[in-house]
This record gives sequence, structure tokens and C-alpha cells, in this order.
Amino acid sequence: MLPLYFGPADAPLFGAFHAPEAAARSIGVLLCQPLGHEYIRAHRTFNQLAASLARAGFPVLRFDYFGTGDSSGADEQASVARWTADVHTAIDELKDTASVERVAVLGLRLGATIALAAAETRADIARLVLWDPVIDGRAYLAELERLQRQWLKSRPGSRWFTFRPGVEEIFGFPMPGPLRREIESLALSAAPRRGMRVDVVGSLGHEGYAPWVSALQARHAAVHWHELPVRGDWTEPDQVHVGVMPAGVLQHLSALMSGRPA
Amino acid sequence: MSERALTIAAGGGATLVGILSAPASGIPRGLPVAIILNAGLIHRVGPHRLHVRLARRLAEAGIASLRLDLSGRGDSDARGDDLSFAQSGIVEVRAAIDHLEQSIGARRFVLLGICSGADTSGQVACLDPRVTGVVAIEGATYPTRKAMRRYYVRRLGRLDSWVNTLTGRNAIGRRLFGRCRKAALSGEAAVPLAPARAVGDEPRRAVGAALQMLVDRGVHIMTVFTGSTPVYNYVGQVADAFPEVRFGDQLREMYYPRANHTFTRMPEQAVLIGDVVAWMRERFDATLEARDAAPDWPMAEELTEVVHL
Repeated sequence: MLPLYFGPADAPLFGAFHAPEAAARSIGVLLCQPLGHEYIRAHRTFNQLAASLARAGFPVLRFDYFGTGDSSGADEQASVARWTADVHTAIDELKDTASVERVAVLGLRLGATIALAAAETRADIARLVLWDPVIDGRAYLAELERLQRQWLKSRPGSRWFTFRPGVEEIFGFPMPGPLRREIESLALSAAPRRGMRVDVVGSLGHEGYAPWVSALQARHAAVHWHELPVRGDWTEPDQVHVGVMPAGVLQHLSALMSGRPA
Repeated sequence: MSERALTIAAGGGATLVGILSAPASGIPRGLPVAIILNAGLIHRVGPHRLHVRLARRLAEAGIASLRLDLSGRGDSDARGDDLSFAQSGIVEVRAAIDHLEQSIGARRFVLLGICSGADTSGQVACLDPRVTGVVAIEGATYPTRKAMRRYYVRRLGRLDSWVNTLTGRNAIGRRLFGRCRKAALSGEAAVPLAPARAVGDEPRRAVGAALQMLVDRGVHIMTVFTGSTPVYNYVGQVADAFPEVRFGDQLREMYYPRANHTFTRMPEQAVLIGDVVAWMRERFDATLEARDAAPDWPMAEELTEVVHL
């Protein structure tokens, strides 16, 4: 694995490139991580997933969006529009580094939503894998805020704390007003380009995707639904500060990407 | 401020990944380099990206830092040998110190970590004379009589303590009313009366001797505790717990009773970062005279593993 900085010299992004360890495939894989506390939880799993895909012959790039992780920028400067632009920058970097013409993009939670938005305008994305995507930004934020309030109630000195939109934070990450409004307006209405395969992967506890997947399938033939037999406890209060994810995720996602049974 | 990705060979087949943050003017020769260790299993950006914010504030204050993933965490490989968690932490931090000494000429280091990172910081400091400062955040606690008195007085004032006692859910309640009362009274099962969390494993006397050794070596120590460690509950408790240690002005105790173990709320993160940066400047500023006398180490491309594809 090669850690690297790429993108604009005045605002570099951190990335981790995993070179293929088996006979190289002609398609690269870009991993789009989730945001906020979900990013912290998913990090090691994404590292391991990238390593697993590299062993299967894929060149893989993971990266941190602007204002997140080790990338440049303060948290408060981040925006969905910027993150979407970062996906384009990362795809170009992956194609250039791995000398591939086409890529698959796998995104988790908000990372999946951003990946789908970026895919609308690109012809070089052969495949999208959307894992527990955020399909309703308003509901996503409402759930995060509910969890934040619930957590705050358990803290000393928080009894009189009330949630005030526009000046808040979610589990230690800022949620400034402009970012909040961008996320609230997210609704997965994007139509994947014809010829692109789309896999929607839902963890246990995320069965609510059925109507959205059906609507997507009605518009786009190559949409496939997969159930991941592990729990996606993104909203468990006891889990939000934990940097680990359930076992079983890796083999299922690796198998899905490699086209072999789990 | 500039940041570069480093890879460090740490033995046992593990390559570690870290990010070196340096002030815009380069890495100052006179000041120590801070090494920020993992908080438990959370990767090098820290809980809520706290380590990144701290590293960048340190760089603005003229202090370079390396935020490091130890083996098996973040982007670093798992080890192939059979070193224990504690042993591997010590070996790997020393490998990082060696690396920074050879690559950028750093000679002195301040180790900083939350929870397991605090413990590793102290262990390495005892073994490596290049460590001149330790910031131990939410590390091991050694309760004093005063701390236990304050702990129980606070508990007495809380309704849930009484409910838990009457329903046999806490240690005292279990003794008085719980299912394991009989076993507890007969001594067959240990039902600890002391709160369970974060009491140091090492014998107090041995830790005191280690602290005296560090102080004699000139190491500056900052301890940080939060409301998540209820058996630390007043500033001065570390000094009280080790009355035989002559700390002089080399111990700074910070207590944030409203903060939690990983400083989740952003205002508390900001206070912690400000206090750590101010302490670093205050404790190590005397060396700035040496810095003024000699040019800073440049962030020369050939001295670090700059990876720009």
C-alpha cells in the first residue's frame, strides 16, 4: 500500500493506493468512504477491503475527501459539492496511477450517495456499488441529530443543552448550516448512465431500500439488489465511537466485486 | 504548514504509516517533534479527527508532529511476530523515533496519546532518553483517599446511585441485595467496591519510581483526565498519588470534568488543543534560543518519503 497526496497542490487529498497483487484486471476500484463518525468506524474495514481487492487483481484507491481525514482543509470548509468534485479528482488519479481506462466505484453511506452523483457525468465508470446509501438526506440528518441529542443527554453538564440548527456538531464533527442544507437536499433521483452496472448492497437493518431499488430498476435495467448478512449498526449509540465493523463484511464485498460466490 | 506521508519499517514485517506535519518555515531545530499515537483502535486522524486538528495547530505554533498508525491499526500492517500489544507499541514508537532522527535530524520528542496511547507514551519515555515530554490523556489512574471520598460523595448525591443500590445493580447493591450477596460475603467471588474503570495495572510504587526517573531525566509530563474517569476528580491527584516523587515544575495536571474519554464535543476539543499547544510552547520554548542560533531543518524532498504521483 502506498500512501500519497494527490490533486491540487494548494489543497491536496490524502489517498492510499493498493497495487494489484495478482494478474492485473483492466478495471480499477475507487472506494468512497462515509463521512463523520461513520468514516472513523469504517476506516480499517476499507483498508482491509482494498487489500482484499488488490489480492484479487484490482488496482484500488482509497482517499479522504477535502476537509476530512488526512486531506487538507478544515472540517468547516467541507461541502457535498466539493466532495463530489473530489471523487472526479480521485477517479482521474486512479486511472493515471494504475493505467486503466475504466473504474468501478464502491461507496458506503454518504460516500455512496456522492459516488452516484459523480457517476451521472462520467462515461468511464463501468460499475457502481452503493452500500447502505443515504437515499434521503433529510431523514439521515434527522437520525444523526436524534442520536446526538440522545448521546448528549447522557453527558454531565448537558441537561440544558438543546439542539440548535446551524451551529451544531454531530459526534465531534461540525455540521455548519450550508453543509446541513446540502445534505438535506440530497435525494437519490440520479439516473445511472446506460451501460453502467449498479449494485445496491443493504446490510441487515437497512431493508427500507426496496421501493427505491424498484424505482431505480424500472428506469435502469442493470440494477441489482444484494443483502449483506451483517448488521449495519450505523446508528447504534454504543457503537458510534468504535473504530471497528462487523466481521463478514470483507468476504461478501470482495466476492461481489470479484464476481465469485461469498 | 505542510504534510507528508511517511512509511516506517517497524520490524515483524510491519510497515507503519504516518503523516508528518511541519510548520511552513520547516521543522525547527530547537523544538521537539510531537509523536501522536493511536487512541485504542481508532486510526491516526484520532477520534473525531482530533489528532489532525491538533497537529495543524501545533504546526501553526511552530511545532512539527507525526501522527502514527501503530501495527494493525489504520493503514499500518499487522505484525507477523508474536510481540504483545504493549511490546509492539514500544518497539514501533522507537522505530518511528529512529526514523525521524535519521530522516529529519530530530533529536528530542514529545509523545502524546489518549487511553492506550497514553500508556504507550509513558512506557516508551521510560526506555528512550530522546523522549523529553509526555502528554498522557486518559491514561492509568491511581486513586487517592481524597479522590475516593469525592467519588462516593458525588455518588450519594445522585438518584440513580440509590436506585442501582436498591435494585442490586451496583457493587454495594450487589453486596446488600443482589444475587451474589452470599458468595460475596463468603469471599468466594470478588465484587469490587472500587469503580472498575482505568485503575492502573502497575504497582503504585513501581510507577512512582519510574516517574521519579523521568523527572530526574528532565522529562516534562502533562496528564489529562476527563469526567469519564470518575476516580480522577481533582487537579493535584497525580502529585498526591505519588507523594514520594519530587515533580518540581515538571508535572502539569489538566482536568476536564465535562469532557468525555475522547473529547467528543468540539468546544472541549478546542480547549484541550489550546492547552496542549500552550504547554508545549511554554515547556520547550527555552530551546528556541538554540533555534535562533541555527537555521531550521528544511523539509527537503530527499529527507522524507514524499509521495506525489
